[in-house]
Amino acid sequence: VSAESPWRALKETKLPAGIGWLHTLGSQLLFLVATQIATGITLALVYAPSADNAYASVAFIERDLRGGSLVRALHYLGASAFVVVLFLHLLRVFAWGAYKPPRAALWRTGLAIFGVVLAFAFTGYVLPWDLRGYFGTKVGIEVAASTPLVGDRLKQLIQGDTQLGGVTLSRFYAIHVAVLPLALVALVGLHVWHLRRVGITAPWDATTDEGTAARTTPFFPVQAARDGVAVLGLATLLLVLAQLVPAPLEAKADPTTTTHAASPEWYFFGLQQLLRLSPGKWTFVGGVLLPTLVAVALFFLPELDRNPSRRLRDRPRALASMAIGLVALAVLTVWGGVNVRRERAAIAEIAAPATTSRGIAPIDSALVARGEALYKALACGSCHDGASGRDANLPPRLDLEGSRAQFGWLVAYLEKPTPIRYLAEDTRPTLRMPSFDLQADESRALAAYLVGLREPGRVPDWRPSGRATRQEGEKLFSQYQCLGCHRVGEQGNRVGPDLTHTGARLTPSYMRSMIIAPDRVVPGTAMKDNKLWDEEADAIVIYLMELK
Amino acid sequence: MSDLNATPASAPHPGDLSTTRRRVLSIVATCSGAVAAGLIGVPCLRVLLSPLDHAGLAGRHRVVPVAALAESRPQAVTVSIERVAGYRKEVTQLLVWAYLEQGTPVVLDATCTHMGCNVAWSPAETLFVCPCHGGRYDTHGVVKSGPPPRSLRRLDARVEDGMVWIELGAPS
Repeated sequence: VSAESPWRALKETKLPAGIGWLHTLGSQLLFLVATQIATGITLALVYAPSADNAYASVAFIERDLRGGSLVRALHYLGASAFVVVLFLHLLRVFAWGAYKPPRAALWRTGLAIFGVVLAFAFTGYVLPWDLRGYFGTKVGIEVAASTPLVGDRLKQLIQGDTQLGGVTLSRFYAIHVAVLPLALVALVGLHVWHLRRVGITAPWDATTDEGTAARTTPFFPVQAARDGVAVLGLATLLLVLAQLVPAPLEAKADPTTTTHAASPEWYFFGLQQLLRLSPGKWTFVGGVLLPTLVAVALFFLPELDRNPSRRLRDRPRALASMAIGLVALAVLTVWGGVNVRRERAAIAEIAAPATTSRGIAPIDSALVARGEALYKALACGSCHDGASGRDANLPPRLDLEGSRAQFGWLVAYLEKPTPIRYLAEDTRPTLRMPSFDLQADESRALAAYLVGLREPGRVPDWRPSGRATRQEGEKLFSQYQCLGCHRVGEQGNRVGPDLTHTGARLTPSYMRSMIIAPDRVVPGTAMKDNKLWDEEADAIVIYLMELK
Repeated sequence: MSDLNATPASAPHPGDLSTTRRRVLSIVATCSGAVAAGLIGVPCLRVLLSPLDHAGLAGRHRVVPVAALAESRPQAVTVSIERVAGYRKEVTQLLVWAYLEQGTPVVLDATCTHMGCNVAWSPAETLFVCPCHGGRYDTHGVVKSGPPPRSLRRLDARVEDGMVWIELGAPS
């Protein structure tokens, strides 16, 4: 290699005659390295690597930053393209037998680059701090934690903490933007250096057994032009795709959600499926051991495959292994993808309609504690004292509030109370709920405490069943003359509570209990027990749920 | 690089170093390099390994008023645990499923023992269902199907003044 000018040296490099388009994959990878570095630095200029701000900064990049969503999509798709092109490059090298001596070191640095790219994908996944990143990463770390003996310590070292949290985010960010790029650049440098030393493997028919070309051709201009066109094609494809497929950003990471089916990026579906196939104590075998063994086998491929020939027809065993490997990978990936869809559908069904006031959202103990303190500080109990239950002129008891009121309505009501009951204009004492000028977070806390007050014995949980319809409900509602006491919009009377917005206010379970057995829910209530059939009550509730 | 190594062996000059001296100097070169790397590397390594001493969520934590729990019907509760995570106080939210069994609170850690996702309660199946890989547990947290290796962790729960508290041990 001439030392005068690297550019000239490259131009004059002799390549084996007969190489073609498949050999542009390496240049495409170099282009992708540059793409990921350029888009990555652009994103890093805006991104904030802390659990408090990461999501907001990524949402800003995605929604408000000029050109932000495009650069983010390029970085996201660039990662996928990297895996695809790297895989094709590896297949080409395998098929050509280019891993055989004297190119073992070239093969190994290439594999190491593949490992680094997968590590990039893993550490980059958590950075947006959204649900998919959080839970996808959690599963990835748990796989490592299934390692016998050292699993827990390994997990703690990866996370940087006992929990997956802000510390983990800092760690992954540093690895993603400092450790891995340095490793990648060093490995690519080594890879290219090896390549310049031993040269590209010549096609089967134009070579000696060492893969030295019988005839050569300069890199410039024919192969250089092919490389250029291939890179331009890839860049165009990336840009078009980036316009069509935005990089995903789900809701902010919430460690307490129970309805997010964690899934990795598509190129990990195969590994994820291996994990599904190794239940219980086998997690380590399928999740760690097997993939590691495959990686080790590939690493030592130059030693394992001692067949000196590179011609396809002389290598039935190598080609059969490649075919088996490809089929296994394809089956696992597709199977994994199908399962991801199935699991998402299954959990969506469980997460669907919520009947209690807070639905499936968990009770937040800290918020409840704050709400309880507020309840005492504001002396809520001095008006809502329980003695008032039977007199509609007095404030309602709150011992059933969690069964009765919807969380969202309570929050809004506490912030700005609006009358619901019509007070009888007689000599009885009357009290109206005053406004306590609560801040939004205070009313949330108070509501969180109140919805915890439930008595499922008096108000059993109920879900709308399939049979009753809204139309039936509306008919029954007028048939039983509900408007004789209640009011809906401009119709009805002002005796019982106003039902105009009842679908947003009361839980379906409460409405149903109140219709079926009012006296059991509120002893001494003025609400009439019409002795309805269950199906009739169901229909009326379905009608009332639509009054919002 | 191979050129540099090859030169002295093939053609010794009069001014060359003796074999012993060469060996000593090569040991000096190797060792001083290793020590220099260690001088910088060990402090870095100490920091890298420091997460191993981090405390877990051990301690006594307030969960929810017992009045908010229902007999045999699990309710999700997030227990907010304030702890020092690195440089700042962080509120770690632990999700638990709580219910009453003949009046006594049962509190289960919602973390699936397979891959750490939070299990959801399916009223239709009356089972805990993990959204990630389909693991299923019964009301007591015992594995019914799917990949989880162990039962859900049952937390040590007791009631004081109408409030449910849990006691978390050191991480296992």
